[in-house]
Amino acid sequence: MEGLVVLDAILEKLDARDVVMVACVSTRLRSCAFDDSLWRRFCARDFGVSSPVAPNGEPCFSFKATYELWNESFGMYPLPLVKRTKQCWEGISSWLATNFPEAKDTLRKGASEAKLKLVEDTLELKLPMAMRLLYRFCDGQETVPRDTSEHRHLAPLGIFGGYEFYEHVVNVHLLPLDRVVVETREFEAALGSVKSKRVIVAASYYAEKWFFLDSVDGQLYVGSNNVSINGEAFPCVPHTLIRPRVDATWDVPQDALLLWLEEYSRRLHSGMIQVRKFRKARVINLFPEEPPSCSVAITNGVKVRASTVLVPEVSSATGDYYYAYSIRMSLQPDGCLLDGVYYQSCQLYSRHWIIKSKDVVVADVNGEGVIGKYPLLLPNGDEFVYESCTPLPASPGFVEGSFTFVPGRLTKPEGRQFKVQVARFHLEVPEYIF
Amino acid sequence: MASEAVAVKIQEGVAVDAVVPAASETSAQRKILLKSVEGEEFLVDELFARGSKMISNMIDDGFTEGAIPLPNVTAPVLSKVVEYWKHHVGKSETDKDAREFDRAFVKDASSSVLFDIIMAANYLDCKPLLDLACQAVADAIRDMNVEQVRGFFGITNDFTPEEEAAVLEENREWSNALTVTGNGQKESNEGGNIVLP
Repeated sequence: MEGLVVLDAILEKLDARDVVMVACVSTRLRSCAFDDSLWRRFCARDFGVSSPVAPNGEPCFSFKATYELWNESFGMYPLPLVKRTKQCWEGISSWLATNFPEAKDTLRKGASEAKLKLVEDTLELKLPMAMRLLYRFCDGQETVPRDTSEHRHLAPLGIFGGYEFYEHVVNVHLLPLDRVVVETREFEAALGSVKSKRVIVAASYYAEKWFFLDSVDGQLYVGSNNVSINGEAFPCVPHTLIRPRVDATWDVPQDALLLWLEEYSRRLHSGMIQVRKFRKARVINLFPEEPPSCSVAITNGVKVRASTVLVPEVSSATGDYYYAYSIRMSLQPDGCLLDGVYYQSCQLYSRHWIIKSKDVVVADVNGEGVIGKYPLLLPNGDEFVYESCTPLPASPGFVEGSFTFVPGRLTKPEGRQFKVQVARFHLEVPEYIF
Repeated sequence: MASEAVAVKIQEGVAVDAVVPAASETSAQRKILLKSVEGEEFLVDELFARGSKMISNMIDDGFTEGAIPLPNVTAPVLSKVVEYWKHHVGKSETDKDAREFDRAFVKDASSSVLFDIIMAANYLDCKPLLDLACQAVADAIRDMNVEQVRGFFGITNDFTPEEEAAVLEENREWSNALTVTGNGQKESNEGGNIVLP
């Protein structure tokens, strides 16, 4: 008995292939090597698979059979990368299942190796390995409308979320391979230059926001304002983390796409990025919900949350960077407290906004209302949210200011005006761009 | 116990009477007596002896008088195990000296020595040592073919011809399944788990 325990301790340190070789030694070693509990551990170790289910979702009668099917399907990739991509993707799709099921329903099932090869041959480039693996698990979203009337209900379902300010609406979808080919070729045609080694992976409905992978340096880029003119784009992942090739220090390629997805998954799970109502639908809203990217201040019972995102598609590397910000105001349950008295409502009258870029004042605005509105706040009422956008000539910068409120209503003030602080929030080019 | 004439293996280079340790001594100073299957006694710091979960439990259960008998461990093997504890217990996992010791420890160890250490580590419930020795055996096996593994374990082929054919066929299928070299996968072959034909 003890001998078997020890044999098992040795076998579990081997690769599956070596274990099958050991099975050829004798009947005793064969029964140890084919013990399904060993293969249960191999499934977990090599593929992150914890139940006997094949890649296509069919149940298997043993963990060994399960391992064989996963190995057949994914064994052409470094197994640590398979496991990591699988776990990252499952993290995102399980979050969607809980928080945004209508978007999860748009996810297509994985593409085949044959399909990936066809894409590579058609575009005449090699797809980065993590992109191939991602598309093996999911071939993008089924959100290309069959007719324009479907736009309205498909547009908000981008799994990479978006934002809106004034008339600029962004919602980023993961493209299926067929669209990847079409859009990549259109870009190449538009740019007219030497065949670039870039492939589009995600794009926005409405506004022109494009994400593409560079198959040479492995980085993920998002197109700037000038992308259709000269291909200008911003890197989305810190350069230092990327390793497109295997070498002595990294035995698994560190692909920007996978790093980007892992960071995105972290932000979804931490509540930094949440689903919010957008007109009649719901969207994944990229304005951060949590500090430190979201500043919070409460004055006299009025709570103001402020957060910002870089808007790369209207920014230019040589010109201004544009930052959209979202201001969310609400009234505490006890109401508005002023000079020792509680009031059951208050209304915004004016704003004072200061925007600084590297200590130089870019804007110092005094004006009435916000985006033409004078929000009335009630205790436990919905947050009043508005978005706006500002250019920033040089990074970093910050925004701060105050709103002037009146207790009661503007048409029937019940007390003196008071200032509500907007806690300073910072504008700087982020490490990860979503 | 102390009155028996026994050979006391000196671990510290200083002669020490085999007496029951005083209860007031801390575990760092207290010494435990371990007895191999041949009856050879090893005096070991309690700190190191606790490298074995089994011994640690016995100490906690009050087994502090006399020698702890280890009928499943021979003196040469026990000596090696104590060496291991001295280099590992109380050290961090990434201690450079400990890793260097490990490398030397398994480097030219014969298969019988490794097996003995594995059995002892399993019996004594010393997981890090068990892992180290099992990994060494696994590393050796990895580069072997079926015949060589037989020789290594000293096992005879007891398959019927049909059984042997079946299992060899399965082995062949596994080797073939991993010889894919589709374009774009060349880099992945450096990952080590793919065999090029």
